[in-house]
Amino acid sequence: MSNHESVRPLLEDPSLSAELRSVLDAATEHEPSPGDLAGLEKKLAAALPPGTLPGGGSPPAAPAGGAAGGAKVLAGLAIASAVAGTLWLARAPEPKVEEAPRPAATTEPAASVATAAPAIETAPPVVSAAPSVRTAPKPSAAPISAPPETTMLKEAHEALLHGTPERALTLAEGHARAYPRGALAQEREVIAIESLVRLGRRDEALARARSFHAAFPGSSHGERVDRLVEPR
Amino acid sequence: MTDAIQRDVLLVESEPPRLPTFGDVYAEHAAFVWRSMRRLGVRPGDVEDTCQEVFLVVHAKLGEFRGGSIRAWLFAIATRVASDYRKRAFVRRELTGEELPELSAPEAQTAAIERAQAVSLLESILASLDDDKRSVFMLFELEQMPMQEVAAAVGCPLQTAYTRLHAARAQVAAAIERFQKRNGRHA
Repeated sequence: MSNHESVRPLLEDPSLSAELRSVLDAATEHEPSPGDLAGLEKKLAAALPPGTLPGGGSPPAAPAGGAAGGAKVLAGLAIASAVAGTLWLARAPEPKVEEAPRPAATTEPAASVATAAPAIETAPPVVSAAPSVRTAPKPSAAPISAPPETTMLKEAHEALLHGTPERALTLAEGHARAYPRGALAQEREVIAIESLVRLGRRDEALARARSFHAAFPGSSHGERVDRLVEPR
Repeated sequence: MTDAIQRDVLLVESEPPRLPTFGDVYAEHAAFVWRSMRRLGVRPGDVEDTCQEVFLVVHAKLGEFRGGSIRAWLFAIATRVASDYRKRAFVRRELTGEELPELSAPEAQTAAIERAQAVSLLESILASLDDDKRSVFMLFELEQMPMQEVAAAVGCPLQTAYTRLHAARAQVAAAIERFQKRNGRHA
């Protein structure tokens, strides 16, 4: 048994290989953003008896994490998302998105994100609209003026399923403006590419597929993208 | 001795765990559940829905929680919900990453792209582990949960949990090695 006690998580091992460390570190990308949690909370609040989530609860990723204060902020966020969700369908996101908090942390992500996906960033009009957002500190940091990423993309995906690729593309482009480097950027690009294919805009689909591969060379969606644009 | 035993029994019986309210559980563990769903192979676009499912179960069954690690209890629910999710016909298999992604790595990759690759690789690796090993690996290595709690979460003896951890580590290391070889070949 005592030999087990010496088993420590790999990340505590200073001699861990850089590759393994980077893979394990990548798990932090699975952290929900405040917007994600606000969306979940909104959904739960609608499904549960009133008062079950007093003050909307206060999920841990709430800004500053204060208990009661955090709860209020979050409840506000949830409402904001709900409202934004409704408005968003009617018009493009406000330029407020551009004011996403600048990273005080100037460590590698910020600088590198700006140059991370040149091809995607120059692809269609989609991403070029919101250059400053590229410096957002966390890919999933949700601008308050836009609905949660998941909501936006879910609608886009549903539009595809319902045979309305124009709408799917419009929604995907809305997502690209609001979350150019969002946690779901890959999924959005897949939807956009599929929409373009279905609309018969093959050249654009191909260009976008190339951009996709350049930006996300290890993506598990890569094969799917290839299948979408392969000649029939 | 008898006293001690009786005291223990009394302690167990007379000191039921301070049962958390639903609001407490949600506030403290929503992010944990969210992360877990992602790592259990739920597509990003479906995480919100599956987390909602988890918390609806939590709401219905919180009265049955008998103390111990609430995270372990939550994780058991999360794994069931994620497992059901994966079984549903509409979940596209390609997104669960049964194969590691093929990469062609340009020489001057930015940190962000490497990061995206790392996330993708991690998800592929987790998807390639069987359920038991994945759970142990996730909780011990990614959540840094004490192994006792991990064993409780996955419902196995401590020794088994360690065995699964070692097996998972070996698979992860092999997967990374394969990835590097493949990557090197394309570079």
